[in-house]
Amino acid sequence: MSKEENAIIARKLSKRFPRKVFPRLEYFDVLRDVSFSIKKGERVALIGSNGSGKTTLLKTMATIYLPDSGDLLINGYDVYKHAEKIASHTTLISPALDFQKKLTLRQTLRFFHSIQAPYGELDIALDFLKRMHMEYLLDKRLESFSEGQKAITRIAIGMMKNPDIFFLDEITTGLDVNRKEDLVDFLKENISSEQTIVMVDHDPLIVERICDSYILLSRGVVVKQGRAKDIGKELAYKYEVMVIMKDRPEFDEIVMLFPDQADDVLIDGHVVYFRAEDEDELYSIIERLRLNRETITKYVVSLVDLSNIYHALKPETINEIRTVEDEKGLPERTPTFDELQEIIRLFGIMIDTKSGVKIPPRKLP
Amino acid sequence: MISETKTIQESALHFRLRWLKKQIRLIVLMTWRNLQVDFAYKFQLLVDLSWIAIDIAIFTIWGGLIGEAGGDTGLDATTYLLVTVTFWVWLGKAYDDTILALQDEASRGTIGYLVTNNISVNTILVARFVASTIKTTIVTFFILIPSLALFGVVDLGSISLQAGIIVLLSFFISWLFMLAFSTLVASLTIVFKRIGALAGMLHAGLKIASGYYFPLSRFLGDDVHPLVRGLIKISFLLPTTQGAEITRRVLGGGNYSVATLLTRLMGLLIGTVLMIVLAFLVVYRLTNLSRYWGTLEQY
Repeated sequence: MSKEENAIIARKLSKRFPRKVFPRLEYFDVLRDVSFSIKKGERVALIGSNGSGKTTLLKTMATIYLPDSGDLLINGYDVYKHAEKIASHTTLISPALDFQKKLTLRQTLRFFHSIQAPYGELDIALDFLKRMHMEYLLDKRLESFSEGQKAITRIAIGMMKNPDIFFLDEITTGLDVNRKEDLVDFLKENISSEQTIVMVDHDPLIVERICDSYILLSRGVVVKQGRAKDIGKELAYKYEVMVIMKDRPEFDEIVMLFPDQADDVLIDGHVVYFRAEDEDELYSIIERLRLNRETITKYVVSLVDLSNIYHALKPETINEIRTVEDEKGLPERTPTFDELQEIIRLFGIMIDTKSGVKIPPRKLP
Repeated sequence: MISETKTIQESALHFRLRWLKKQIRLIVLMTWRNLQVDFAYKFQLLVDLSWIAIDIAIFTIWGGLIGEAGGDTGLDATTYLLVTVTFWVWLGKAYDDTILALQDEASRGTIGYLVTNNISVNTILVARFVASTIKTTIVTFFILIPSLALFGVVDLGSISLQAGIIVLLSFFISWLFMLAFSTLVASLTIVFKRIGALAGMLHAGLKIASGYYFPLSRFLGDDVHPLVRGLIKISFLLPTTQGAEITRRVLGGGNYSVATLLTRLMGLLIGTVLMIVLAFLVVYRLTNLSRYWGTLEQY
């Protein structure tokens, strides 16, 4: 693959921040030897638990941070040498970014449109605000905006830049359900196949609808990169049945009601997830559900998708992949493949050297 | 071969000019944004004006208590102090605002947006200084100096054309010095975060050295400790002291010759050039360091 076909190439990228400056400079690692490539037009989800380095990676790609070692090419430009060019062709949208609240929405849009020149397109922002039913707020000061309205303003400014690459960090934070839907529709309709998206979002349903591939991070290490359509091959099951129970169930209760699925169940409050490896197992689960229909509100059957990676993260599986630690418990270095395999085995995940990570269904402790 | 070299040189020049034009446009846009925000805080503007009025009242009384400015100034202490206050009202507010600029942008969370839209730390600081200067210029040149002229402290009619040009040049070069100095000190914020005390100390030091609180020339007598006398003589070399001295002598109607004014102007110019170079190096280094340490958005 030629360099030009890739929007982003990271090779052995590392980022560390000072833990202490005085009397001796001490660092802690946030990203370690991160390598991946993202093709132009690809929509990639950065997935990982809190503190896994997702936002640091986004900010490094958006030139707010400089890597400590390794290579990072964005649109063919080296992040060390051409930060200005990269900033002109990318946009970072994050709840951490804010505005001068004494200015009106119109003043803010005009300001950013002027500084983004010649790339910015004001009409994109105005169309987006109209779609989000916010055009009536144009002459209001931002200090009177709700968190949701501020989130929409951030997205409008980011969209206005019409960049080659979008770095989206938790952009749906503060949005109500309807606006989330409108946002997803707008992004799907208005971001062209030439524009690349790299996003971080803790809502699996949003990520699943926007992204077509993923990068799985844990403790600053890329554990896996793959395409959403191949998730079925990566996971040890093909179907998921989400069941909403009438009462919050106990694990023993579920074992009693669904004895054949006792090993393949995940309980999260009122919601129980069953996993099926094939159609026969799926029908067997549905048959059981019909027999126990008085205890359930509804159930949904789905093929495995990106959201299943989030479910896999939930029962302390991948986020518990430990890096090799020194005697103080501080991360020392990236684990070798064999060490990683051993750690994952201990935490209940299997690694198949041919097909990558396999996450077997398991119950919550 | 020669024409090829010439083409490369021309394109390099063209690139530099285009870059400069872009930077000026960004500074103008940022300055306009700062002014929009500043004028939205009307109560703050009122407080700033009241502060100047209090300063004038206090220094009028203080000048009366001191009597003569001393040295070869040929000025009474009230005139000496009030003209110095005017000089510092014009420059000091811009310094204070610039010191807080990065902390303010970081605490509001706006700095990340600016940086990812190609607004550099330098641009943020320069634009803040320019915006504050515009505000204080309105106050000093349209309110303060005419008021002092009305009360006879400043005699604008007695200023010769040559001295007028020199004083305007000294204003401009002093402004450039303070712009570079403010940028240098404010840039420490991106790594060391809270630098208010240091910035205040340096500001006070420059003010004392330039005779803001009392005329230092009164302490050059033989009865003063040689160390203090030495420090005072060193303080006379500071660019802001030179600028303040030119302003006092010309606007206050003190003793001066065009030759001594030009000597002071040259000292001011050399100090300013050195400060600009130093500020550029420090800001560049600290901006890079903050991108490695991830401290740019912290406050």
